[in-house]
Amino acid sequence: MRDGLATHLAALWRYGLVLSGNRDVAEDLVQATCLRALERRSQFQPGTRLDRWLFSILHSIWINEVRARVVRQGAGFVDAELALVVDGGREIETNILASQMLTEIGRLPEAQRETVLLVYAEGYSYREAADHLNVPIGTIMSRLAVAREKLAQATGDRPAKEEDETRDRDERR
Amino acid sequence: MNDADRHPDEELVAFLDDELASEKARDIVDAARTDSDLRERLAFLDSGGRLVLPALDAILDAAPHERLQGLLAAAIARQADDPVPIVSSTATRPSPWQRLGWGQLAAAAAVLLVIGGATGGLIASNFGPADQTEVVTVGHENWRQAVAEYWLLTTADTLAIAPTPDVAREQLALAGRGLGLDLDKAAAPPPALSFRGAQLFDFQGRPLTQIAYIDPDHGPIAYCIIKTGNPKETGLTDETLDGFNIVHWASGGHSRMLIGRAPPETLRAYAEQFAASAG
Repeated sequence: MRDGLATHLAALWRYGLVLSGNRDVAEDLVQATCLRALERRSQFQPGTRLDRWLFSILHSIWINEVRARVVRQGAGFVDAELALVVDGGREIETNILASQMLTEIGRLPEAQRETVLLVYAEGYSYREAADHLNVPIGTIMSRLAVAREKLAQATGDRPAKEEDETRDRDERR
Repeated sequence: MNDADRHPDEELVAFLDDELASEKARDIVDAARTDSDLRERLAFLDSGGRLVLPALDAILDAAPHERLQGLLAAAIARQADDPVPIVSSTATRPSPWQRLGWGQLAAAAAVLLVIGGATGGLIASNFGPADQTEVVTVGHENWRQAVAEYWLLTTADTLAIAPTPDVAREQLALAGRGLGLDLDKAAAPPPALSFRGAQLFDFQGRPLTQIAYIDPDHGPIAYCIIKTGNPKETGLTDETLDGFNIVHWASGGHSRMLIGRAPPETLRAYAEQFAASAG
């Protein structure tokens, strides 16, 4: 269990950061998750994925014990915080792009951010993400569709349909 | 209605994510052959996901790996300590001097820094007061516990004979060297207390000094200082361990405590004088 926890610390921290937009809250979530996992290690079922179990614990701690307080105290300018994480490597083009994309991901609502992380970075299937977040699979599909559209718009591409509609409106004036 | 309208974005994104049932996926592939709007929409939505993974993986690369390992070590140390009750018979417990390695204390100190850092109490209150207390005390509680258990063996008779002034000076000089402190100045006792000797111990590789006094009204009292190297300052804090009253605080890279059976208000008044003399 301890070795397994050590393997997943960075992923847990990233999950906490994407949820909270605050590195210190992210660290606190990691530690609380470690403590709870150690306390409840007898509940972990061998043969199942430890990372998914740990993510469930972190999600539960965030929702039930931390989220309201963090939001109430005004922490979590998520877009800035996510981008700052990789700002150290600004001179590298890929880091500039990563930083821009993180800013845009950070501007998504929390539910979309979380779903994007789980499916696109952590490899959750739609069904697994739905189970993890306790929502219908259609909600996962909807969150990802909206998120992809926003990210595509923000990173330069504009939808053909929208451009046509804008041009049509302008021509009618 | 064209094919882009017939296939909502949810379906197209599921197609791109390989999450669409094969029959529906074939339908989209067939439609895209003849529908340029649909192809453009697919390309647009695809562009929205293209950089997501490398961007999120950049966060992994930037994670504070050493700090996270420290947090895990602190969680393991705390979890390992949990089954041990704070107040119980000393006979059944392993020696507290050996119970916790300094690596674990250092990890716990990292937790203290995290909690005392830039978050201004936000983090401290995240898990409620009970949990917070446990996290904060995970490291330092153990050296105080060790002192408390050792101090249980001390009676007024143990301290009946006062050292000569020369011996007292030598004891304080030796104990002070271990800590990097001038104890003649830094441990000036309240007038009511009578000096009964200073000893230098080793707590898991860290110098720990215990200066013993007799209070004419309340018996043995010890002023203990351990070198932690942690610059965090903490104010006077009351505590009870093994039936003793304790006041502890930290300053200048040292954690300090006063322990005895004097009433809490008396002990606190003494602690204020020790803290003032330590600067």
